[in-house]
Amino acid sequence: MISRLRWTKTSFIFGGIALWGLVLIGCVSVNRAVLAPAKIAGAEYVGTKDCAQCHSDQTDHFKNATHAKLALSDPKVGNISCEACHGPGSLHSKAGGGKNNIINPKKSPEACFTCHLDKRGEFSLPNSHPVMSGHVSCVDCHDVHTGNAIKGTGVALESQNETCTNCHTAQKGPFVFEHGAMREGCTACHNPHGTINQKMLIARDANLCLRCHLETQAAAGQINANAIGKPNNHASSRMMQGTCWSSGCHEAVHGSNANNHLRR
Amino acid sequence: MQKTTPHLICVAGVLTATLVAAPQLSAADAKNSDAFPVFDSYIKVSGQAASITGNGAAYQANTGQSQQNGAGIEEFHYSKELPKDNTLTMDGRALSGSEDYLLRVNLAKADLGTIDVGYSRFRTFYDGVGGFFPLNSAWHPLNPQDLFVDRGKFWAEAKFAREDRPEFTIRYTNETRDGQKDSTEWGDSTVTGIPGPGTTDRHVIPAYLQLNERHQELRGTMKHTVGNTSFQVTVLGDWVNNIDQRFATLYPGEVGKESNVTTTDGVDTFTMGVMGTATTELSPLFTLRTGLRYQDVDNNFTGDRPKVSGTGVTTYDYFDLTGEATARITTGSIALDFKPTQDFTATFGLRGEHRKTESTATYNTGTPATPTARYEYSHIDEDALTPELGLRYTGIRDLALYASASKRIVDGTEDHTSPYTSGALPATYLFSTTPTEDHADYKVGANWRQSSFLTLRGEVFYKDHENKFSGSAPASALPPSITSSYYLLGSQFIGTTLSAIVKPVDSLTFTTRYMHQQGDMQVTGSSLTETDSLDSTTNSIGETIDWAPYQQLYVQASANVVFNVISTVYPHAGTATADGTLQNSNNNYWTGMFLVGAVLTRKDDLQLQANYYHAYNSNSNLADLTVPYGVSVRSLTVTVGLKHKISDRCIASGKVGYFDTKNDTTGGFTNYRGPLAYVSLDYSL
Repeated sequence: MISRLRWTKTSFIFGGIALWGLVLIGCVSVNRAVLAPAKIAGAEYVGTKDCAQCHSDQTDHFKNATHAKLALSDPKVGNISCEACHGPGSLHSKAGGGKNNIINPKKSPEACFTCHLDKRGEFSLPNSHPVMSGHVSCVDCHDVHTGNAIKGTGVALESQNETCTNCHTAQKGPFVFEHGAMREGCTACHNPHGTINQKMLIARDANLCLRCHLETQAAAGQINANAIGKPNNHASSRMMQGTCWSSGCHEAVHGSNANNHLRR
Repeated sequence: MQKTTPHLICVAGVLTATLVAAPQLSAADAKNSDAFPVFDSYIKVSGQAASITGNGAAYQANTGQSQQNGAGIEEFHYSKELPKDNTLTMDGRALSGSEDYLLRVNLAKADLGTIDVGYSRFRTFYDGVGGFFPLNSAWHPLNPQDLFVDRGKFWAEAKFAREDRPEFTIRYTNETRDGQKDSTEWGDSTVTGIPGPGTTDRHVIPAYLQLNERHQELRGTMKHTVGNTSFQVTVLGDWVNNIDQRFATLYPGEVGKESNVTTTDGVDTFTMGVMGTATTELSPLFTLRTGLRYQDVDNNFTGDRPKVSGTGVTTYDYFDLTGEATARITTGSIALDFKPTQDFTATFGLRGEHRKTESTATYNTGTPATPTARYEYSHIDEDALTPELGLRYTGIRDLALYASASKRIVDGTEDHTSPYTSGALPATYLFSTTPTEDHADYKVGANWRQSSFLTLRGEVFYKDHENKFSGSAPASALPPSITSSYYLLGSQFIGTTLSAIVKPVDSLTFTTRYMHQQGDMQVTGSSLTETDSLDSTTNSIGETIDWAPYQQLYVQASANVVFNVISTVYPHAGTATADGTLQNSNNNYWTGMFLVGAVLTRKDDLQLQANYYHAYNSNSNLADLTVPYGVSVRSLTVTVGLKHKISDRCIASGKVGYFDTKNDTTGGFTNYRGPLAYVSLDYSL
């Protein structure tokens, strides 16, 4: 006869009690701190001046950074300083630097998630940049030490789209025929933090396009789409079945070198 | 239920007693004397395995882990002080399965500089799941479904940095992307079960991309400070060499109808750029920031799009595409920071940009035996001006207030081959457009630390954008009716973010973040009065609870709930054919994470973790008509981990768990579940 483990309520309850007992014993007998991610055991806050001694290239321009806007006038009270993101720096400062005694948000997004809770949810979605696995970090796209956190906005010399095309070179162009949506930026159609849709699209169906390309009856000279008015083109039936780019028509959504309707 | 009640009371009693007693006991010694060692130089080897029941490709795409399992060096770090103030640092990683590799060598000499050389590579997975049709349970996945792209990066950097001398950095990077990934160009075939003409005949099924991309950059930077001015000059050369292909099969498996379309895009782009920025402390009141950049982009491209039928007959949408697109972009910026008091800062900025592009392309349609030459052309010349104002005030105790406003005003001209152009003589067919943009962005926010108990943050933004295109063409344009055109797109987005950090005691923190966004867009056309084209709403609330009652225990729970609807005019104003068939896009979901870490013994730590994701957007109205695009997925992963100190130089970790994902969007064809295991050994060098 084969004995099989049975998971009953009773076994869960007594198993839980046993586990809790172990934790209790650990609490009583062991003097070791375990901390949630993005915290450093045994470290204390030392202030920005200590950081500036070695990292002046970061601290010198921080006053113009987006995050610096949140800083309060009293540096002792709830300040937005280096240690707000990098954790208490006493051990790092005392050791004259080091890797394991300071939080590096470039290696782990947990420090960013402390305030940006929604981004933890978005990066947990299947269609997202691989931030959780550490292959992409928040600072690859955001400048946290100077200027606007969203690169390429305001009076920055770079354009916002360059943040994306630095990796996604196929979408960089220039193209013979540009898609006007690129004027609003890649984020007009994609949420780079992650969405429930493939390719991080903010919508997976034709609504993505119809936000701008309002369907109207065909008329001479109009630039916008006019699919419903042209049933002979099967546009309306294709649209109701799916999307505008999926149907083999307007495939070159980022720009085309062959067709000003962004057809291939 | 009656039987378990006494047990629950018992458990609650034990928990309560523990909560009361343990802090008193553990507070006796707070020196962290049993802490696990922190290694300066170490190697961590690990292996992980999962036994997957169901769709392995979906498992790979969603988890980023190979279904083939894997093992290797998860992390290697070596640091050593060398003679003459030199420091050598090495980092490495070599994980099979996920094909995740890293080797980095850094040599630093105090008051001289650093040399940094490395190579990294990792794999991202994709699943070619294609579309699912509920009527006849038809599913059109790619074969094979498990696709991946390897991303590699080599870099070499030398920095010369002596105190009070100009700092020079030269850096070369070579990035590659090779492999196959899925495409969103999928949907249906005639084998859908959907009745009626037009609805069964869309000719497109799953496609995938074959990437062969290389991106090189050589960048030289000089930084220095002279007096009150610190400046930086950067010169770069940037090369992009891509040959990407999209493979689509039409009517898969249908005798006499199946064919393959291959679209090839070749790109060779060279960008030369020069950029300089300077920051000058004019006085304690004023700081001036200036910048200038010039970019020269030269993009040479090729391409074709043959279609091969099942009988081997090749036709072309186009072939022998060649052309060149160039862009000259000059950008300048100036900003003045004004700080009249310790508590008030104002920033006035202005950015100007001139962009000029010139592009030509030639290609053939028809067949190589009887080609028809085509010619495409475009020219853009436009100026953009962006003024910006930023304000910040901290004169009220424990309160920071800030605001910003910016405009983007664009005016220019575009000339391009007219719509439906068919051929030679581009001047005859030139279509001219005057594009203008008027974008306004505003933001106000506050950070208020009410007490150690409560911190509140709030921010409101408003965007009002207008993009306008006025076009005209000569009467000779094709078709002749297209002689003038007008398109105006307006959009307004307003958003609010509210955050609250509540800390009733030092060991307990509640962080809440609520976001609301409302978006509206309007389109005005040549024969169309202003009409609403978008009404979108997003509400998102996130909550994280951090609880660490003792130093030997922490609990972290986090959840994020999102309601998003994108509504366009189509479902409400379509023809009889279209009525009711295109619904709003709903993108509702929630995610949750629960994490517990605890000390078990002097040498053992425990960690429990659960992750949950649920999207619920299936639309029964679409199920009988088309692919149900609304995402409906439920996914849960639970793990239990143990960390054990073997010696002062060696720490072992192990984790076991279970995952279960159900995907209704694909009719259950991409479900997967199973147990997983992970072990690692961390050894001090």
